[in-house]
Amino acid sequence: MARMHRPETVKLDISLGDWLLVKKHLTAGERMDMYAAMMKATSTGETIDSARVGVCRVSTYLLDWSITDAEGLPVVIRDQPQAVVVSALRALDPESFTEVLNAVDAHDDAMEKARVAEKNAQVGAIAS
Amino acid sequence: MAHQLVVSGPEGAIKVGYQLAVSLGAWTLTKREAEGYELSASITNVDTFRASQRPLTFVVTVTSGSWRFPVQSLQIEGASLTAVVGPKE
Repeated sequence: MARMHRPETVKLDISLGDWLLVKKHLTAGERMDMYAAMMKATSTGETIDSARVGVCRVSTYLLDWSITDAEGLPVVIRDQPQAVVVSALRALDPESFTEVLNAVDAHDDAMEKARVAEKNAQVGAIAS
Repeated sequence: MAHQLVVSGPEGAIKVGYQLAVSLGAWTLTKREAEGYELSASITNVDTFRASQRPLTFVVTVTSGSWRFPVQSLQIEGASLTAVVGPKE
């Protein structure tokens, strides 16, 4: 079983007919960068900035979406710098951001379960 | 006198899928007689593993989104990159 995955994408459907295009898997490096982005400096070192956790999780996964602005124009995030993606996420109403975050978290959980199941199946096949 | 189509920009990227492989500074695309373009660019950062993967895409961010060109061949020498890319996707 390969220990590296090709950069595949998954489309997640959310309410109002909208969709999110996300990374199927994060690499170890992408996960490390995500956690680093959540940290803030304090007088005694570093700690997690709870206000950044959600937006960091989403912006690490999110590649594209169908969401439009108040005028119905597409909010372009594909191939844009992460700062642009974060800015767009912060412009959502709170309920929409929560929905996007929940969708990404559910996807993350599902992919972790899938990777564990795949590894366990491979271990079982080797052992038998 | 023959005219040659040349497009240039201040920054771009070479990606494998959605993953950034090479960060580019100033770049120039020159139309080839055959299909596609010749790309020359300065390199600001390289992820050597990702740059070794295929297929690669040359990506330029524009106001309305991005331009994406499939990379057909690529050479990196120091801080310079040259490539042959196909028509815009």
